[in-house]
Amino acid sequence: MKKLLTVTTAAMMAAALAMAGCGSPEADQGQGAGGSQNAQGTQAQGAGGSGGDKIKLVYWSNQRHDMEYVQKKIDEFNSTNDKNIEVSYEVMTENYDNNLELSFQSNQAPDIFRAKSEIAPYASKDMIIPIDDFLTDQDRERFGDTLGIENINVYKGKTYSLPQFGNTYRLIYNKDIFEKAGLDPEAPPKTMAEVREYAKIITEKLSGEGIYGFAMNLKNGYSSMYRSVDEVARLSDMFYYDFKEGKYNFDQYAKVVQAFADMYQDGSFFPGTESLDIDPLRAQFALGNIGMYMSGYWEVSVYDSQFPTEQNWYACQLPTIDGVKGVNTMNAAGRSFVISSQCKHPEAAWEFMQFMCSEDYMIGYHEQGYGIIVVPSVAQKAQPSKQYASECFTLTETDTIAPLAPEMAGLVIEGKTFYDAYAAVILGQDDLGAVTAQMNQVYNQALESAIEAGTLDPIIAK
Amino acid sequence: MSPFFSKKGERHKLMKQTKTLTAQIKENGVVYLMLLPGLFFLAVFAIYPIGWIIKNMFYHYTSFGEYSFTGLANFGKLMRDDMFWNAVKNTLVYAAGKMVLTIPVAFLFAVVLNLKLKGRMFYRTVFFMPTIISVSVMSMVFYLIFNPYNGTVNQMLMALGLIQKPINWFDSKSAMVTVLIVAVWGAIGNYMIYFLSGLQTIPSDIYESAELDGATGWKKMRYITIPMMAPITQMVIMLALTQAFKDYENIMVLTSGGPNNKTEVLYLYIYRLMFPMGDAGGNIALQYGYGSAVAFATAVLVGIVTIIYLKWSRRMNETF
Repeated sequence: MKKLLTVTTAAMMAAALAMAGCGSPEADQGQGAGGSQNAQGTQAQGAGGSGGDKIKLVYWSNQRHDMEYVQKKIDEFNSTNDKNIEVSYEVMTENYDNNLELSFQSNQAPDIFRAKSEIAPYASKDMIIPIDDFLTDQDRERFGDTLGIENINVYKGKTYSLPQFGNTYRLIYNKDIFEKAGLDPEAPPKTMAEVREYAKIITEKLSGEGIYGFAMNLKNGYSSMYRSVDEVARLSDMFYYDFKEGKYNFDQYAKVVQAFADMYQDGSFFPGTESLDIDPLRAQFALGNIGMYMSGYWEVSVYDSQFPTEQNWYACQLPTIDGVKGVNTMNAAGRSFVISSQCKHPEAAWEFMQFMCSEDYMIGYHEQGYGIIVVPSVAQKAQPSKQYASECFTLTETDTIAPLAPEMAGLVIEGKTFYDAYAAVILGQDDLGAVTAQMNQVYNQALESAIEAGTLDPIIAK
Repeated sequence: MSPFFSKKGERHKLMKQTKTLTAQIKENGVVYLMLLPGLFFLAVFAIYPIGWIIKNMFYHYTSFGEYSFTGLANFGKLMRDDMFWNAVKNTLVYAAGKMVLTIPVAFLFAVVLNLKLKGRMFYRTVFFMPTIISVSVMSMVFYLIFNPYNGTVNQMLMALGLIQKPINWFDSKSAMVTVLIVAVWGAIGNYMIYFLSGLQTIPSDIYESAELDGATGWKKMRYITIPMMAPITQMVIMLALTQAFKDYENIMVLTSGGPNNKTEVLYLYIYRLMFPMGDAGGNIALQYGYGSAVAFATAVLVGIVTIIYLKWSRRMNETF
């Protein structure tokens, strides 16, 4: 009896441990751009559209705010395309990249998906296939300079995605609060020194009513700083990565961090900023308790549907340290959809991709306020969105698609990231000089090691 | 040579055993069949993940497509990783704080609710309620209660004149205390029930004879209740200890390990390595291989602490 139990248990354990081995990612190796013939592509069915069989494709997106529009357009595509293609659309906002990777490991990857992260990590892992063979000269002309940007839609010389929309960053402020505090709502701050002064005035005059000058969602260092400190630094030409030298240099960036730390020291930050997520921040802004914060174009939709507000809010160009010397980048611009390496019908996927990047699709999307078209030839034809305050986010000459710094293109850093380290500085918990010296050393060392090991190409912008 | 050890004897014994085994299978086939689902789930949901961790901790495995054997490199990285050691420190502080606050209070509640008080069932239910409430929901509610801007706690303290201005319950000085308060609130009811069931096993005639001998309330507690509760207390402390090391859900909701990693505990760090929070490319990159090494090291740490406790607590049994 005991023996039988032992044998059965051992067999089960052995099976489980064997599964641990069998489920290894080794099986995933070698499924590159040309590896799709090995992929099982569970969703892709049919036989190329012949004989009346539908070519079924699965499309994954991480965006929820545009679901209604996208579904409507996909329904239109399904009913009008003459290639017998049928696309099913799935939205997944939580742990998108994790789920995506798990789907690849289990050979259940979608045929087409929206690239949430930059394309470099997807391409380096052979999760996506190049689209150069599909692109015509006409396509390239249509997309102009927005196509062919290394790490954004091109990786190691091959094109993987098409530009479509982007989100511009702005300083978002409450005009009513400005007026209450005796500030001119038509003259928002242009420098970080002015932001500090405005935030101080608002807090001093209105904190008794529960209104504070400035807020950041510092519960997540990265989430709060990519939309604020990074972009102020870019516009001030004080970014942490020197694209000419191909090296990290946090010396100038530290001065931008100091400007935010000064505001925190003044007591001008919204109370509890240390544990504030972006949604609670928005909720407080919508209630009229926050004077200013920094974020992107998506806030237009947020205050239209997620947190409808009566507040008279507006947005303007981000402040700088001492004048506009650089440019901002646009969030998620320059890339849109990618074709999975496990897709069995890349031609059909390309057909769908073309539809989603068509003028008609992009103009409708833009005019209904879901995103800002970054393709110049299409942008010229679109009418501005009628959503409240969307005009504040219209493309200006400082809104560009900037190249990626190495850590955005896949460089892995051991230990604390600079976002977490500088968030601690803003909160007065760490020394700016010491953190800067440490970040310069850690990031450059990681970069040199990655280049030496061949896992990352040097990133030097012309 | 005894016939028992002869080759013939061995063969005979083996045949007898085989026969017995077959007969047993025939006799208890249904039982084994019924055991199979349980064993299957044990294998898939317990043994397989452990095997997966043990295997991948020796690999550089960041995600799909990236996989290479690196030997002990992940453990070398772990030794140099300040965030890991910070999480170890925070975990020890958190676990110690939770134990020190939870166990005596849970014991006290159990003793009080074991008395023949009016409405004791109601209070037992009320105190046990936090155990059945979702940790994340509970933590969201506590986030609102402790919210430095307009949280109920600050408003009450200010109304009572105990503080002049709101306390920032989530700053670097207070965040650990805040997550501990929430953790203790959530745990007391659970351990109270364990203690309560232990208290109910103590025969009442022991107390009665002690009373006849003139034992007062405290003496009964000191010389009867506490010694009689020693075995169950040993078990409760061990369960509480391992649970305290495994806690991370409440911290994830309340502080995400911040500010400045002041409340980042080991399991939260492992979670962040396996399922990076926030946007991609943000705080921490996905690292299955390294995450496995941290998970293994954490399991070893919890194991060591538990063994030390069990060895030490034997004295508790011997003493009482």
